[in-house]
Amino acid sequence: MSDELSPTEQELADQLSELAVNPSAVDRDKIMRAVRTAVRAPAPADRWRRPWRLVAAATAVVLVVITGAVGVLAATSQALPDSPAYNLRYAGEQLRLVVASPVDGEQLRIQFARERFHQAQLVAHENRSDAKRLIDDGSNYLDQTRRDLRSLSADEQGQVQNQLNQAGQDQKAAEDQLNQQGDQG
Amino acid sequence: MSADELVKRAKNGDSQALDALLERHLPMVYRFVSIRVGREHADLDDVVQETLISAARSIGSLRAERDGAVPAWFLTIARHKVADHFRRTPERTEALDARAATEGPDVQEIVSERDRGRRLRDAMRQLTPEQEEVLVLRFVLGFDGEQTAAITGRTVGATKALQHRGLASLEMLLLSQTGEWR
Repeated sequence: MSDELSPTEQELADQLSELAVNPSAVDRDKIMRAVRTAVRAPAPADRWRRPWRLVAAATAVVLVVITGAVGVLAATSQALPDSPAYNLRYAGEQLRLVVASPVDGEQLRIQFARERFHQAQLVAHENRSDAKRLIDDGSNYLDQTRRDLRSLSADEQGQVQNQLNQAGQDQKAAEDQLNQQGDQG
Repeated sequence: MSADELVKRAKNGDSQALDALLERHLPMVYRFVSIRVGREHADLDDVVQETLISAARSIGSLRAERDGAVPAWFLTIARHKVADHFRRTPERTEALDARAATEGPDVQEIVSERDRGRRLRDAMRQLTPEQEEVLVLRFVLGFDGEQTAAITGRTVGATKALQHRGLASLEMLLLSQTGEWR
């Protein structure tokens, strides 16, 4: 194609060619050294240049943490007092109480207490000390709710009181079973 | 080793192949960047480096199925890096112009030479993108007609027509600027 150019076109083409410059050997070495160094190094700037990538990564981390925490708490929800996981169970319950509203908090305490009373009945025949500790801890939760009851509105008090009564029945059933196991022992 | 083989190996994590691929295209990228930012520009090396680093990091995105795809891919990255460069540092010429007004003929000659280059680059930017692309490929980077057609994805005839129209427009633009361009 080049040999089909008119003289004027050829002159323009030559000027265009002279606009650019070739790299010297030194330039080439310098550039390639810099490129190799940069390519070998991690590229955090590129990786996080787009904000959505950062948001996605942060979301993923949060999800992993939440999923992990929920998994751990779920795994410890049935832990018995003689297990190291029982402390985690207690800590998880306290965490839920911290973020709950006042009335929800009292209902949660009752729920935690009833879970312990039911569990105490299940283990009473084979692990008496665990059953006793479960009943004691459940009773403590109910005592706290009774103390805090007056800080709730009248409607909320009625609602929580009904649940307290049911939990009281569970507590009595657990204590009865523990006593029976004691009598049999 | 052929460019296709280099690309294939580089995409599979062969660092030596990647290195060879970058080094092979460095002169083309350098000439391309030099015509855009100016051959004396202090940032010329930096823009070339940024282009090659970006190419290395995005080698996985290179699709080399058709002829000319590899140089076209490098030039696309280079074009973006040049645009980034101009966003960061708009062209400045005042300092040398001021020196030329007070200093001797050497500086005036540099300014005059540089002005000719600047006028030509300015005129190139006023062409259609298709015309500019063909002229750069043909006369700055030295690709022949068939290679230019392959890189741009056009027929040889269409490339030839763009080349002639581009040169004619360039001549008219330069004449309208100064009354003469030689």
